[in-house]
Amino acid sequence: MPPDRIDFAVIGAGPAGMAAATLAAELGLDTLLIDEQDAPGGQIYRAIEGADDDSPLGGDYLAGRLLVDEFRESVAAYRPAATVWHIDPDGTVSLVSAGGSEAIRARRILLATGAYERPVPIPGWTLPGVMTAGAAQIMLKTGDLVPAGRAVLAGQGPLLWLVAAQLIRAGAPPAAILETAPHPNYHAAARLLPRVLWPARRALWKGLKLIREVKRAGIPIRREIAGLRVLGRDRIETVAWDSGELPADLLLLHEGVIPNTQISLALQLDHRWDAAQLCWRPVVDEWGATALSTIAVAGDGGGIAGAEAAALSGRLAALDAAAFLDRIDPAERDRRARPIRAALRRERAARPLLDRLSRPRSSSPRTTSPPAAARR
Amino acid sequence: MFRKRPEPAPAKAGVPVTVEGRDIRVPEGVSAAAAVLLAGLPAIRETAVTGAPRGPYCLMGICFDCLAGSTASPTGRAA
Repeated sequence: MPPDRIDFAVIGAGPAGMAAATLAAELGLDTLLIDEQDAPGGQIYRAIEGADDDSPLGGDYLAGRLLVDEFRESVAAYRPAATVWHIDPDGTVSLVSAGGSEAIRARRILLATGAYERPVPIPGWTLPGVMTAGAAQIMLKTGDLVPAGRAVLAGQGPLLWLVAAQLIRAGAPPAAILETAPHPNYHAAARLLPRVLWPARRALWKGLKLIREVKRAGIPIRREIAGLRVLGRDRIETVAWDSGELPADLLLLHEGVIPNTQISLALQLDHRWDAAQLCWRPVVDEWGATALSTIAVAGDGGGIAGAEAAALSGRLAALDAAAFLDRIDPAERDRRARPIRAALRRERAARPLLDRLSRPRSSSPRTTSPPAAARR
Repeated sequence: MFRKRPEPAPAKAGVPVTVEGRDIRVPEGVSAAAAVLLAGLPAIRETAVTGAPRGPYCLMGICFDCLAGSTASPTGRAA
């Protein structure tokens, strides 16, 4: 007979969720990992179980295999293809799937819902053919599919350059890259360099290699693009900006990633505005615990720090859940957490630099009709 | 709007689907929204208020611009 309550329900099968579920199961917690997709990996490691060793997505993507294998080998239960549509603070998780609707009760719930790309509401952004850079990456991951025709990448941040490189490797180089990072980003980032250069060396080196790979492929690159907008009647036809325009069949936008706070906001948890990352993030302690004892947060859903940091914060949340449920004592929890925290500090070291380098410019969007005040 | 990656790429048979009356093959496991993009449709839906054409935007289930009425998805999203 199934238990009336499980110990630990993890929402999201990305790196944070997988690492948390794997460790929690190892610590003896009755654990269930719930996810919307058909296979584990979240978005960053999406479709990784079917990936080839020479995938154009590269080594950082393939590195996710280890987490997935460890999760598959763990004794944690797994509910894929299920959407969580409601969570009660008492620990009831409501799911809907093709088989219908159900409720699962857990003593502790971990929100590991990751991040999504910051929406880029430029004029014309709702025309068919305007998508996110991540969407093109998902097409590559799930089906070896690449843009047909002229694809223009526009925006800023590491993912922009990563997707450009991945498309080049897949035999479908973008037609152009329009980088929106304004000049002040580079100046402000340069001021941070002395402090973060050594800890951030790996991330910086990777970034420089990507940019070099893209430049070597001869992709036209325009910098400090302002006034980006999309023109077309029923679908995209042209990408325009203050000082130019290009015909395009597909526009891939990217202005960084922000935490997916849908569930944490629905639970009415406290959130704070992160001025460096320009996003809301749930208020959590150093274990990811919130003011609600049943709810904790791990991974990018609590603040953007990347995939490796997500797995580490997932493990901290699993340790905390185990202590909360009296399976391990607080001293053992703290002892096991120490090396994880050290690794987490290293992973987070580059973050202030990356945040400053790709800070979206704040600008008023152009309007196609006069603002309300002018019409009175 | 999207196509199969050029060679060298592993040859996989694909799954036959019909999109707006067109028979195409899509890689196994891709979303309905991906099939619509592969089929080259100009839009996946029209908005309720203005009838403006919309296509998929995020492909990860967060933007809800790919809502399609007759999919098997319990939440209506095609991606």
